[in-house]
Amino acid sequence: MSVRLAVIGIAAMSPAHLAAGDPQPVFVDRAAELGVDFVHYNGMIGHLYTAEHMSGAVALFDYDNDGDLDLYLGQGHLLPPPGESGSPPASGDTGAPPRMDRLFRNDLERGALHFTDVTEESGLAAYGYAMGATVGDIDNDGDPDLYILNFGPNELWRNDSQPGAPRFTNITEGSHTADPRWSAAASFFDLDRDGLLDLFVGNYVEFRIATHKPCSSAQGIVEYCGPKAFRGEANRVLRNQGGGKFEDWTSRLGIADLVAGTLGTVATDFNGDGWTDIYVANDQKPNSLLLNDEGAALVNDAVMAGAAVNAAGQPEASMGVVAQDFNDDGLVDLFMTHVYRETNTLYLNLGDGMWEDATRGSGLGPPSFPYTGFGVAAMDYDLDGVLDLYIANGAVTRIEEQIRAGDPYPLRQPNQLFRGLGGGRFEDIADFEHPGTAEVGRGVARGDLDNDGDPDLVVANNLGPAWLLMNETEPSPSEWVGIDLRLPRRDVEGDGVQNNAENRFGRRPLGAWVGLQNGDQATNRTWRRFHTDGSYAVGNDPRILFAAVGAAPLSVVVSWPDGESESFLLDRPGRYETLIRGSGEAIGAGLTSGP
Amino acid sequence: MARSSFPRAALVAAAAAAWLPLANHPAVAQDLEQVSRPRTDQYEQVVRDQMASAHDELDRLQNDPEATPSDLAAAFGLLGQLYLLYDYPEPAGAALRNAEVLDAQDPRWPYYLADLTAREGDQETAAAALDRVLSIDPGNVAAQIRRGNALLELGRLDDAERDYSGALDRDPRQPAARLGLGRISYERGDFEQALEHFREAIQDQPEGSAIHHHIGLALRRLGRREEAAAHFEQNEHRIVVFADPMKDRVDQLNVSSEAHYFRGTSALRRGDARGALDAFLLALEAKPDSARNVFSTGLALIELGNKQAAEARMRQAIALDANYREPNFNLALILAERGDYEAAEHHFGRAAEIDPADFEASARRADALTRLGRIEEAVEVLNLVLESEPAMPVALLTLGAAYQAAGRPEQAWGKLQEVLAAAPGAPRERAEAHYRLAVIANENPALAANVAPGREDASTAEDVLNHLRNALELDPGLPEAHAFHGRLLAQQGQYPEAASHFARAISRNPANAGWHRDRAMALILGRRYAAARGALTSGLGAVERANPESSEAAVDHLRILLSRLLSACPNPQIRDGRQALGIAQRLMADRPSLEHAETMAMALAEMGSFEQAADIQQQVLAEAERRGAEPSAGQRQRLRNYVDGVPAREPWFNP
Repeated sequence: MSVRLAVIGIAAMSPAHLAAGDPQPVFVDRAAELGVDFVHYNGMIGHLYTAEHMSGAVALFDYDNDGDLDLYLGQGHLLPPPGESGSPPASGDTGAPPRMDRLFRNDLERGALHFTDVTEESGLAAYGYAMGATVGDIDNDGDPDLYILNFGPNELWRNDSQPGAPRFTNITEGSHTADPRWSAAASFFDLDRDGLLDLFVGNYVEFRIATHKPCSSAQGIVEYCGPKAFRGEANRVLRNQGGGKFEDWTSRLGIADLVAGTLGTVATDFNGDGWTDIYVANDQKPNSLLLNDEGAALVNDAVMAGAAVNAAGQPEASMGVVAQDFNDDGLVDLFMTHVYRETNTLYLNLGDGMWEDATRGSGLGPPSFPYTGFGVAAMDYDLDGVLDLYIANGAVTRIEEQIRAGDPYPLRQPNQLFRGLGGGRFEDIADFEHPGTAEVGRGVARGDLDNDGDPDLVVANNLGPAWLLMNETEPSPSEWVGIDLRLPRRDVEGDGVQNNAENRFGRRPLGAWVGLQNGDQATNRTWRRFHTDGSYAVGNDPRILFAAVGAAPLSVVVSWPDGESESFLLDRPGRYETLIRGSGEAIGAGLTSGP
Repeated sequence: MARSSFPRAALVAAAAAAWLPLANHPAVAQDLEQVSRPRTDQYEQVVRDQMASAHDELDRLQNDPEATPSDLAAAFGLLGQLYLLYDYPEPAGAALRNAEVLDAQDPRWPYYLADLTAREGDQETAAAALDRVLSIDPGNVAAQIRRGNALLELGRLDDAERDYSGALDRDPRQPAARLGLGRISYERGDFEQALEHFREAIQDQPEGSAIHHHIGLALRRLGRREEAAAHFEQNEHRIVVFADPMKDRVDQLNVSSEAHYFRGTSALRRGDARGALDAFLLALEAKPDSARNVFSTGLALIELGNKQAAEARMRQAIALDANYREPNFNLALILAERGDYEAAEHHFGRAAEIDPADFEASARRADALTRLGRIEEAVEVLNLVLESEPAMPVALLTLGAAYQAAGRPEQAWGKLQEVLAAAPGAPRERAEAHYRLAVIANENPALAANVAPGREDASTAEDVLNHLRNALELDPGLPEAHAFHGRLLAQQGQYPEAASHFARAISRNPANAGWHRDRAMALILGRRYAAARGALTSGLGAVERANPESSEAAVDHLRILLSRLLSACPNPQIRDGRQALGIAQRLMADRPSLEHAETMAMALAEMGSFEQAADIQQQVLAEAERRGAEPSAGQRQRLRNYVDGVPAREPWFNP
């Protein structure tokens, strides 16, 4: 991308592509130019409702299977005065046109990157108070469905789109997925390996407008309430029964009493037993690592695993979370964002089911201290082969200087970019001050919007405009390769709906890992997780981008969620490859040193 | 160095600043920093006044040619402490740096600067400030530990080790320093040595439960995973604390209602209800219109046993905020406890109305409805609750109680058994379920036998006692279970044991007049008359104190028994006809009745006024006959005795 617009993203050095002494913006907000005119509305009326400053939902997903990422953005609505019902209105606020979530189609395949609002024609009439979103193919028809997390009943929208005809159908009621509690994060995963995606829903706290009471800071200032002012809500596991129906398996799996104020979830096989587990990031409570006991139970092993509390043995205010291999040792690590005066925290995997807080020495701790991090994207923005981190910040208590300046929403903080140095070390390259454009950052979704081989970002700002941060790195085709994964198309016990006959593939195997061989040694691989979940309140591009790739052919190993592996040879870089399970060379389970 | 939070620099420049014209002050040769005067209107008046007063003092001193640098340093220092306390990092830093410039020998100013910068994540500056503190005050253990912590965070392990070791040289039982040494050993990979340090630390401060986390980490690295798991489980996230007098002095400056409220809740948690009340009253003084502060004083008053005052506070909190759930709920608890179920039902209902998810309020409302005899309404409420929360122990229990009250023992039995099955983590509900099962088993022996197939040969009494034992094991103070146990024992003639159980019931609910009467009767029947007299006297006081509006009938029963004990006790040392007569006359004056008249006759006979006694007794018998009741043999005998000049003995109850 050669266009230079007003910089709202990040001014930084891009070591791989820019000459020294020539600082250029890496990310540029091009939302307006690209047709995304979305401004989030949180419906605040001056009562400092906890829910109002937490929302910021976004999902990147290719709903029409045309090869480019479309965009969903969650909206809020006017909140009633204390004492009244907090349930969302069926129509607009006080007679105004209804505010609703928005769906934008990416028209890249028509020749240029541009987004068109298709909300109305898609039937996605979502009026809930959106808190988050996640994406997964619940009916194995090859297209992604959308689960919207609300402050209020959640919504499950089945994707019935046909080429050129976006169509979403609200199947919440029939599917039994309308969890009425405040949900903030969710992960689709195949709990019992029956071929259908189940759903883990992370619920937050029992905040209700009807019972709202203002909270005070330790100094006596009226402030937004933190999670300790409320009872936590229990999480929920919805098992996909097929036919668009889910059943609540929370009690059956033994986690009904796990009440912790969840804001982030990631699903993958953390212990290498071939069953997808869940890591749950909780606000001011110990985090949970729910190991999947062959679909029969979820057992919290976080404390023993060393991933429940930080190095000082303290729970932190965990918000966004990502699971990736940050030090390239073939093991899955965790990174999560926290409130100000806590560091963001990196847990490195020591192997043998043990993680350890490795924040100190990572370069991630002190720079995060003054900020409250929410969304986080792990991606290799500068295509040097090492994962970097982008963090959306936004305070949860009002900033005195901004109050003094008359800002009506004094929670603004600059976002941050950390460049990966390898070995789990990072540098805060963002030695910048936003030129008056900092917003209240919440969700950050990662995805290659223009399919040019570098990761772009969408930031959902609370009570502010959504940012489309286009990565200006301009990689050459030889520098990257993109991987998409698919299962073969099939019916599942007669319940696979497959209403989209155009799709050649089955669903995406969320939670798989892909290893790209580095150099000549087959055991030397860079591993990346294939997922849509993680961050805070978002659905990510599932596709994996590898940078700094070697010469073709490229050797790739896929470790599928059930632990089986296959190898593939890619004959050239510079494009996205879709790898279908069963079309590679089976190499059994546990062959690789992968996660 | 941590970046300042956005967009601090620009805003501070724009803020109203307090340039202090100190450059010309005779006491000051150095250039001092500008200290911005932050906007404080978001604070309570008491806090604003406190900060304004500190500013005024500084202004006064800067215009006072007699003021010394030390005076000015103290004024800057106080302002810096207040800004530190009330979270204004930038002016706090400027004021404290000025204080240090003016009085470089006072260790407090760099100490607070270190606190400020460490809190903002700037360990480098914190460590440098602590260098200055320790150069002035080398024996400052807290500073040494803090510097060790900062250096550890900076990865300067050898330097941190020197500080922790130095702190231990001065105070060998210093768990914070020991913990620091353990963390250094851990960082160096010497897990055995780390473990040793951590174990010493937890020995010195067992309440610092976060040390268990470190022990667990070390054990895990040593491959001792089971031991590690045991320690991880013990981490309740309580950090290791060390004596930090300088920091405490800053905290004590906090006069906000929130600080007082926090002090109050801390006191309440450690069982210091009096201290809690004092703190909550200060919070209320700082913020008089706060419904929460009013409510909190009510909570403390409940803990202090002053339910009457607590009730008033709850009502006041509701008046301030009609949609405040907690005072409605707690007021309802007070009302229910004193038997005013009508009002209790209303306020539980309000709590549930304010928060429909407050199922406990709904369940307790149903309990009040049950006690009011509105069983069907109660069942309806409970079924709604159980639709949302099928295993909610208190709802299942209350439904069982409602069925029990409705005379549907089979359904009650079933629900109560559900409580036992569904509520392993709810010992109080399980205890009450066992108690109620005991009562049902006692009243319905056939039912108890039928629902326990194969145990038909077991005696009902054994079932009853088993349930009671289970109840009291789960909740050793459960008053209803003690009272019920007491009645069973009394029926078997085990009066001393019965009296003891009644006493335990009373200790949990001193307002229950029936239990005082039962206890006194057990003592009387066990011929412990003096103890009975004491029990009745103290019982009357307790009932009246707890609830001056307590049911007249309940109090009357205690008065009747006391009067009759004083008139007709076989032990002459107990008898006191004059006092007995006084009580009986009050009874007659308040609520004339045949029972009260007969009690008065007994007192008169004991005083030797047999003619009057006989006359009253005669009238009692005549009136009873007129009402169609056949006087008992005892009543007729007492009339004959009075006529013959013989006082009454042991006529405790009317038929």
